[in-house]
Amino acid sequence: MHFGTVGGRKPSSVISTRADKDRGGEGRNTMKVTTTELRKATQLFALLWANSFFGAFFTRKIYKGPLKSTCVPFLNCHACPTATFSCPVGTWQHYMATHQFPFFVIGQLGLIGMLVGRMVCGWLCPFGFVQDALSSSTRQPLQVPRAWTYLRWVVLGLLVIAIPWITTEHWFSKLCPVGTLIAALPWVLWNPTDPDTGAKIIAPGSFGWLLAAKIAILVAILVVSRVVKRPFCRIFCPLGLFFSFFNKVSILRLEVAPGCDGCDACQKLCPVDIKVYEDPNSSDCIRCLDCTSCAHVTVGLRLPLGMPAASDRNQQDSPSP
Amino acid sequence: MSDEQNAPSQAETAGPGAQRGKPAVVIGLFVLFLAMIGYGIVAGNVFDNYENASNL
Repeated sequence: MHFGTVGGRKPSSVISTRADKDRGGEGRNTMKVTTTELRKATQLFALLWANSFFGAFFTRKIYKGPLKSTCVPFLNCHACPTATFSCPVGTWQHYMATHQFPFFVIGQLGLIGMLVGRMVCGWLCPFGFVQDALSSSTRQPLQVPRAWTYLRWVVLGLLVIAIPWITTEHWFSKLCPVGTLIAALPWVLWNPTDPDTGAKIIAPGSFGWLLAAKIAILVAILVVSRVVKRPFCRIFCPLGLFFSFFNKVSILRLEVAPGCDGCDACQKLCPVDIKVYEDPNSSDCIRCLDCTSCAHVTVGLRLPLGMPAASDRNQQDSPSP
Repeated sequence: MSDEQNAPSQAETAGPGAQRGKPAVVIGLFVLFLAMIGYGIVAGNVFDNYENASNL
C-alpha cells in the first residue's frame, strides 16, 4: 500500500504489501503484512468492538446502557445479545417510524463519509468480511449488471425511509441478513429464560414466516457470495449507498498514475470488481486499498483548504516499476 | 510521446470553476454534518428505542 505525501515527492509506503516485497521493495519500510490481511484484522476487531457485551450471557438481556445511544458506522444489529452500540440503519428507521429527522445519525455518517468515503465498507464491516471470505479465489466471478445496483436506492427509499414512515415498522431490519446472522439466529439457537418473567425469551410457536424469509435471504446472499463478489454490498446495502455519495468529495482519495496500461490487475484484486483506472474514486469503490499493491495506484489526502490535489503532484513523478 | 502521456490530467479537464467551487462544497458539507451532530446531541436526538429492537 502506498500513501501519498503532502510534500510533493513520490508517495512512500507506510505498509508494504506482499506484491511490493515480490518486486523488491528497496528502501521501503517493509512490514510483512498485506492490506487484505490487515483488513481482516480490522474487520474482526470491529465485530468484537461492536459486540463486546459478554455480560449478556449472565444477564440474558441485551445491553441498554449509554453506549447504545450511538451507532457504529456499519451494519451491526443492536438486537444481537452482545451488541454494545446501535445499528445506524436501524436507528435511521426508528426516526422515520417516529416521524423525526435523524440529525445525529446522518451527521455522524456524513462526517465519516467526508473523511474516508466508503472505507468503512472495506475495513470495518463484518458482513463484508463474511462475503469476502466466501468469495471463491479460483473461479472467475460473475458480473453484476449495472441496473441491479440501483436496487440499493429502492432498499434505502422504501425499506429504510418510506415504509417505516408509513407503517411505523422497521422493515429493513426485519429482513436484514446481518441482523439474521448476528441477532436472530443466536437468539433462536440460545433462547434463554427471561430472569424477570421466567418464560423463554422467544415464546414457543413464534417462529413464523418472517424468520423463514429472513433466513432464506441470508442463505441466498451467502450462496451467491461464492460466485459474485460482495453481492449484498453492491445490490442491497443502503448504508453502502449512503457512503458512496461521498467517495467523490472525501479527503481520502485514490489516484492512478499516468503510466497505467490498463492491465486489469486492479480489477482482479478488487472485492467489488471495478477497474480502478477508469474512475479511481468511483462510488462503487469500498476503499479497501487492495488495489494499491499495484504501483500505479496510490492513496492520498486532499484537504479542501488550498492543498494541491495528489493527482497534480504525482503527475511529475513516474511510477515505480 | 505516447497517448497516455498526452492524456489530459484531472486538473486540466476539471476547469477553473470546479477547482474553486469544490473546496467550498466540501467545507460546507463538513460544517453541515458537524452542526447536525451538535444539534442531535443538544436536542437529545439519539437512539433510545433499542429495548424494542429485536425483530424476530
